[in-house]
Amino acid sequence: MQYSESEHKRLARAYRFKKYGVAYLFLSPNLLFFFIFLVIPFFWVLWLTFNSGGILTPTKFVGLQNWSRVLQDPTAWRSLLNTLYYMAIAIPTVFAIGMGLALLLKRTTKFVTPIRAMIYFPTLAPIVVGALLWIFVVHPDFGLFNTMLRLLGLPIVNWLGNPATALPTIASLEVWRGSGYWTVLFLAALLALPTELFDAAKIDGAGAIRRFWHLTLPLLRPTWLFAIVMATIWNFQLFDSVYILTDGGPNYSTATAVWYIYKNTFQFDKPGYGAAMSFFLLIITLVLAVVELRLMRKKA
Amino acid sequence: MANVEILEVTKKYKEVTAVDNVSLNIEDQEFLVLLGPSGCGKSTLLKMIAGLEEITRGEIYINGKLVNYTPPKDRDVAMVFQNYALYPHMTVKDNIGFSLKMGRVHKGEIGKQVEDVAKILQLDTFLERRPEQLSGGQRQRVALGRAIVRKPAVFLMDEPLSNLDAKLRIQMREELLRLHDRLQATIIYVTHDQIEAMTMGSRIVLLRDGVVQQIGPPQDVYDHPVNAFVAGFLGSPSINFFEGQLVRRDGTWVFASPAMQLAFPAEVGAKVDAVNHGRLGESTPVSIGVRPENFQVVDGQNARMKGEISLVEFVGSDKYVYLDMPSAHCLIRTSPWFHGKKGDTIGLEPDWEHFQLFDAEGRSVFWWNPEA
Ligand SMILES: Nc1ncnc2c1ncn2[C@@H]1O[C@H](COP(=O)(O)OP(=O)(O)OP(=O)(O)O)[C@@H](O)[C@H]1O
Ligand SMILES: [Mg+2]
Repeated sequence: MQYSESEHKRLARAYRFKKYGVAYLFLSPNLLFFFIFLVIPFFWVLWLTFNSGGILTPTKFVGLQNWSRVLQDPTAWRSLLNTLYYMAIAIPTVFAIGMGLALLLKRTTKFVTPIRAMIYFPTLAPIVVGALLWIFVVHPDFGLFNTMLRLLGLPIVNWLGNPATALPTIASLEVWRGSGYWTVLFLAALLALPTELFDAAKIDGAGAIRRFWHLTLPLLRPTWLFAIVMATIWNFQLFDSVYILTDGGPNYSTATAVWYIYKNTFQFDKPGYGAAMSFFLLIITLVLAVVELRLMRKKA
Repeated sequence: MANVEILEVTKKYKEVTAVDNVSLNIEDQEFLVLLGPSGCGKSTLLKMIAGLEEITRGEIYINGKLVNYTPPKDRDVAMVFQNYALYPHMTVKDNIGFSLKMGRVHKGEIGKQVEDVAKILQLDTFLERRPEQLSGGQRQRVALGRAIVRKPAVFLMDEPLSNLDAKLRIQMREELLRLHDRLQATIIYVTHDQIEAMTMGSRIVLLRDGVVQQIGPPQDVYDHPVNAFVAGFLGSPSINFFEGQLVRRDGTWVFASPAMQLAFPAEVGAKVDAVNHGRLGESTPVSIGVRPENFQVVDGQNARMKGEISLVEFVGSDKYVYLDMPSAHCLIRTSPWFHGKKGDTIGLEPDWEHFQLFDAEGRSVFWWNPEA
């Protein structure tokens, strides 16, 4: 060695700074916002969970009282289960529709751009617009759903007024809103798959369905991984369409976790309690996402 | 067991005509080699036989049955893809066994057949790996394995040995020929490699810009090329062309060019007369072709062809000697004991048996009658 140990260390530091310095420079604006809007609120909310009192009443340190009350609150449990139920309906449906449309679009050769734009459009519409539009679709008297039921000679349904159908109806809005996004995502992934593999499988005697099972699905693994984890995180936060369409009713049948957190924090004036529930939700989401990641990785 | 008949097949991609009115009859159990420069339509032709590309015009028959409208899986063909097309998420074992699995072969049976094939291809130690963990040559052998495990009626192989080292390539060549004997399958084989084409094919087909140039047993095509393109494509190092004119002098035909005044021996002159059909008059522009191995080195003083050595390459079994001639270059193949060196002038005499004469359009006038 012609350079001393310390000389090497100094040179290595300078080299790394050059190599990664630019990366940090580009990341810095993002990190700034990350810090202001996520890191600081995180600790602020954490502090809130240990206090009672709200906007009108003075804060008072109560230790873990908020946390333990969440566990004993049947409505909190109910809203969590509602959210899970909603996810169990919405996520598989939106994935099936997204993948189905993507498979169709992949074969489409005419009017490709307008069709894709049309499918992506609901995703771009602001939620308030989407929700208001959905009122026309599910309205018991003149809504699209019931008009079709009447045409088919079937009994009509009070979609949002019936506790049994209210949450699935909200899920249908979210599916309509989300399918464009997933279609575009799946389509991009499908188009990136090499065609020779499918040629090879055709010659190997695999029909369309088996090509889908044995090639398309496994080859899209990285996409699935992303899709499932992101869909879990996003759908746990279902709030706006509930707030606009049903406000948790009828009889708490559409009360979702974030809706209940909102209610407690801003309407029942219990920010400490809402904060504690937020933390529970964060932990549950985190655990679920990690479990999903593990499961998907292992099957590789 | 199948013969393949290709009848006036054309493939167009928008403006590009990849395959142009090709007709071929491939006999049962034949080993047919498709040869041609890059982009001449070899892969496209294979894909049409496999059913992966629609045929723009024409008909393809396998075993006498029209297959234009038969899906690939019902054609009983296997294909080795030029870029392997291995399933990246499956192990070597699953890659090779995939077609059997699709054919609902019993699991134990699949394992056995896959192992047999892996042994032939020297892949037995890689069975549990995935394609990304293999070298290019190993991947190519997996691609080959995936085809041969099926024992189909027709094999379509798109440059299946291109990525192997010389030694392994020779081994695999033998294996393929043995396999061909054993399976009694029809093989349509694409290659860039002349040695492969010459040694393996019972017939070779030379394509250029989607058009068939010549079909025939390797030696026929090598010795009697229909045109200058075929003559130039086959053979390594490639044939020497000299451009000049055909003139009549003292009752014999003479090839006249700045490099040489080459009077034809009587029997060659007679051949020119015989095939002339009145097309080769006085001063007709022609070119002659002589392969590097078809020269004799003679005394430089009164030789009819003379050249100055510009480079001598020793390649083991031979020496390649590059010669400068007046407005021409020439490469000859000599024995390794040749001891001329740069700057020497040597004389040459072509081997008239293997002499090629082409008209201005590059068509061979000796062996074929282009008007016929
Ligand atoms: N999908 C396609 N769309 C348009 N043109 C194509 C397509 N596939 C092939 N071609 C064109 O058709 C011609 C023949 O292609 P092909 O792949 O058959 O050549 P090849 O003889 O196999 O060449 P190589 O030896 O390089 O593999 C080429 O000019 C190519 O650019
Ligand atoms: Mg090719």
